[in-house]
Amino acid sequence: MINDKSISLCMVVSNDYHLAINAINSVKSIIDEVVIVDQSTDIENQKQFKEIADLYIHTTSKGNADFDRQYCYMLAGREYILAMDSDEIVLPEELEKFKQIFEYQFELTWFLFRNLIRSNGICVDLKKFLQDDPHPRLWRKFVNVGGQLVPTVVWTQEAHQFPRFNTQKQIYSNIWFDHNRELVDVINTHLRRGKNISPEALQTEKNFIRSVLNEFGVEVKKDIVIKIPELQRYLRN
Amino acid sequence: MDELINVSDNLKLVTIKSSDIKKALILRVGGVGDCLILTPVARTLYNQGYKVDYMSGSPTGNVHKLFDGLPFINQSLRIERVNGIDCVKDKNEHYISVEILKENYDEVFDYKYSVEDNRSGVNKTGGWRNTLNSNYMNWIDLSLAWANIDYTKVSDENKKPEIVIEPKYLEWILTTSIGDKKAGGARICNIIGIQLQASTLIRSWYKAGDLPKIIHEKYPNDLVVIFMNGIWKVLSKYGEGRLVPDEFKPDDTEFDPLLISAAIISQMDCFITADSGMSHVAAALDIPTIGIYTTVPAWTREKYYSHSFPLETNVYCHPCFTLDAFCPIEKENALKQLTEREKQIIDCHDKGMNIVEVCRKFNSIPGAIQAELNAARQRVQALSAVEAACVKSITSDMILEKLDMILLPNKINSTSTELMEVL
Repeated sequence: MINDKSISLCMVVSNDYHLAINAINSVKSIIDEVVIVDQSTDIENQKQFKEIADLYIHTTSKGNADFDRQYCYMLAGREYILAMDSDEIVLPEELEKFKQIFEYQFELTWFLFRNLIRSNGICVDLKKFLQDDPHPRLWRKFVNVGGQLVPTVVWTQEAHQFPRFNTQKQIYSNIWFDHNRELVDVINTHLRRGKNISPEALQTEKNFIRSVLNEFGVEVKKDIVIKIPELQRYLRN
Repeated sequence: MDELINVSDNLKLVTIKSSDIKKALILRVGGVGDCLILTPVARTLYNQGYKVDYMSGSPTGNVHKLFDGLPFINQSLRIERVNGIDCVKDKNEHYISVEILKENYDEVFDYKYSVEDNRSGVNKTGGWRNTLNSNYMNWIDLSLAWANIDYTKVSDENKKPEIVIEPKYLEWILTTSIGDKKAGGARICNIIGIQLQASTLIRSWYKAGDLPKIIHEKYPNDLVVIFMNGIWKVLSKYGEGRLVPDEFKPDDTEFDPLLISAAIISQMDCFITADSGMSHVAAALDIPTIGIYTTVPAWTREKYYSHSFPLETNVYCHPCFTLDAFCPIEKENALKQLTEREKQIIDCHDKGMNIVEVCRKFNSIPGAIQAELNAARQRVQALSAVEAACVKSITSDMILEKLDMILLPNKINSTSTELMEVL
């Protein structure tokens, strides 16, 4: 809770408890509730998520969190929704800045993203491709539009599509989320998702993977292809 | 006398708490002139007892800096558009949307939804809303009216825009060849400024480049300062030079180009300008101005500017109120020069006809039709880009005549020796 405003942390997860626990812990001091929509297939992961969640819903594995986002956010029981993915964390000095934005009567806040990908001791900062990569991650569950309460943010079920906003009371904050990933995880996620997203989104993802691999260089590329042989076919088609 | 004493006895000391003072917010995103002409609104609201904050934004420059320090403006803040949302950066560098900030005010005057609907070409609002357009009414009166102020009760003096120039810009300008300091505090020649580029081509005067030479022939000892291709140049009989602070770098925030221009204008004895934001900067600084008006009547802009000497065209089609790049008549002439096929393709497009139907009609394929449409539009543009009659009707002689009216009564007969000292 900040400035008397209560917050639900909402996450769509999938077999990634080891990451999600870091994300939850990083914001623990400001949230009042943890809502988890779990796409995990692993029983152990399911048990762990059930234990830490205030509200836990298990759903089917879809290879893509976007299908369950809006559902997850509608389960929130508090005034504000903080949306996070399991591979994101908020550092303590950034969390401290949340108080600043709660001085305003905002309905939606955007955050900046520091996207890092690691492999073989090399770390690539995606700022070159994504710049500050602002994302809407904190909003009031409902806003009043013409006397009716409507969801502030309406998420699509498509990957790489921005949601629809029902408010102009927005803040583009100077607060950073850290989005740290291993290259192998990134590629596996994209391969898994490839079957479930639109052709346009798939092409965007392929271009993204190609650019990231180019940043890592030939040695890492060779290593990744050995670890994930289907990558070559994925990128070629 | 007794009565008077009784009255004074009954007087009570009324303390006004800061919470009693009503807060007003003015919002404007537009050109320099659009933002500048709202200073009379801010002043009037202040006189009515409001504490006024002004949030403004302009693609032309940091216009908000011109208002920073005006006695009737509490805070002048810059609006920046982030993802299509108008925001103001706070002290913690968060961009807060103006819709959130509006909540903090008793009255909000958001001019985004108001007077200016001057889209290129025609005024698309139509009907009665045309009367809300500043092409048809003096735009300061209109701005006051929009803020629910009876403009007939505001004095002409209070309808003048006002700006503040940061001291460092004024200090700099005084050290330049056009500044007083160079002449030991007493300048001995006139400074004639020229800026004839407006935000649209039809309101610009094309032959600005020829003016300095013509003016020099008549006023050989005076300095001409001209704004061309994004920089100010000083021209004198001894040559020419750039007028820019030594420390200035184009992407530097230390020196702002808009404030540099304002400082330069502040030194002028006469400013020859188009219907542009700079004419209002000059009005705010009480600089005698020759404003050239082609498509829009001068009174809509300069009615209350006491130092204004507008130069208006007298062609039959004036005022056409066009704010587009091209003259509507020339555009029509250009359209007439197209082939029948080109005309029909443009017509089909304008009517929103399905591309498949258009292809069938012209026995072609979509790619080719699109290419033909683009080519036809480009041809119209090229053929329309000629000097319009209203622009052509304003001659250098007319400008010189106005210049004489301003300069000759007080003209200083400087000698070349004195000028040498200045330079």
